[in-house]
Amino acid sequence: MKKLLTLVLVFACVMAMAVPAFAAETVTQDNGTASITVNGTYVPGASAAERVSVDVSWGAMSFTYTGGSEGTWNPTTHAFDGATNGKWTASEGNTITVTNHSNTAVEAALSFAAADGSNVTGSFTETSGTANDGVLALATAVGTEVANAPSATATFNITGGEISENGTIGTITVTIKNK
Amino acid sequence: MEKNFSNKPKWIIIAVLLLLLLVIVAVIIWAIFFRTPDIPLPPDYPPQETDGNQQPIPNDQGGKLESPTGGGAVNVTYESVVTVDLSDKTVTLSYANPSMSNQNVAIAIVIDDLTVARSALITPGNMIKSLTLEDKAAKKLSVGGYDAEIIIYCYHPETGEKAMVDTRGEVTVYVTE
Repeated sequence: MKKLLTLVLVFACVMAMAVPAFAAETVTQDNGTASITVNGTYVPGASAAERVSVDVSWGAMSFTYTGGSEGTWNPTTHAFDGATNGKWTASEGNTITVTNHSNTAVEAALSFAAADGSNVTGSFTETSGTANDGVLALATAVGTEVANAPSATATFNITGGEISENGTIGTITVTIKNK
Repeated sequence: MEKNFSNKPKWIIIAVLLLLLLVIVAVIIWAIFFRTPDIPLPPDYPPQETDGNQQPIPNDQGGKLESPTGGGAVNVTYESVVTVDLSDKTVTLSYANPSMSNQNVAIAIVIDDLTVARSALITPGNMIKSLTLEDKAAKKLSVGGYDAEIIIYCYHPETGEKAMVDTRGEVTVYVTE
């Protein structure tokens, strides 16, 4: 009984060894060919995480308000001659430059908020790169050299209001948004 | 005519009260205009401490950004994903102030008007990867995602004066238990 069982198991092992031969194509002629399909599986690579990196540089942002002049009283007309309104003048360095080093296009929106209790107003004039709408549009840095990264500049000026003492006029905010 | 000596005590009382009133007025005038404050006058540019969580940026490139005289320049580098762990009250983020910046910065993560986390000063050449969740935010936030902003405030490295320019960026905050 034991010998019979052994014989059956050996026969089964021999048959199992022949299975790979069944998977192959059979070449039936001399110099014949067999085609074997090679399969490939695509696994997409990981894309880079979005990383925002911009340079923001700005000038001294120093402005001088010269109060209005009453002028000179003219007794013949009972009016002041040469009266002037107050005016703002900018010192050098009222520009803002944003340079994009991100792997995505960005927009830098510019805004000005006066200090508490102040009525000063201001506006931006874009001097390079983009339409003058208070938003600096910057292309992605992918494919550019570091020294040639997309960049845009705007000039800030005070357009109204007045001050009566030295101090902080307000704050400029550069808001970076993905395009 | 007899003097009414029975009214003498009343006049003394009135005189004393008038004198007391004069003393009180004098004290008030002194307190308002002449008293030296007990506490030192706080400076206009209060010094701030550097953030205890800041760490050096690996492979940080040298050099400095150019900026006009009297101005400033920073490189703002951050990842757009911020995670909040409510259980241990930590905020995980990535913000770097490379050595090319010539300003110290402090950052805040804000959802609408709610401050989620804020840092102390991050000096050039350093980055920050975690902050402590603000108590008020810990009570208001729930599990999920929020559109938020990262706000970067710049400070002169020597005077501590706050710069006139702030920078804001869009981030997404994911809150977990």
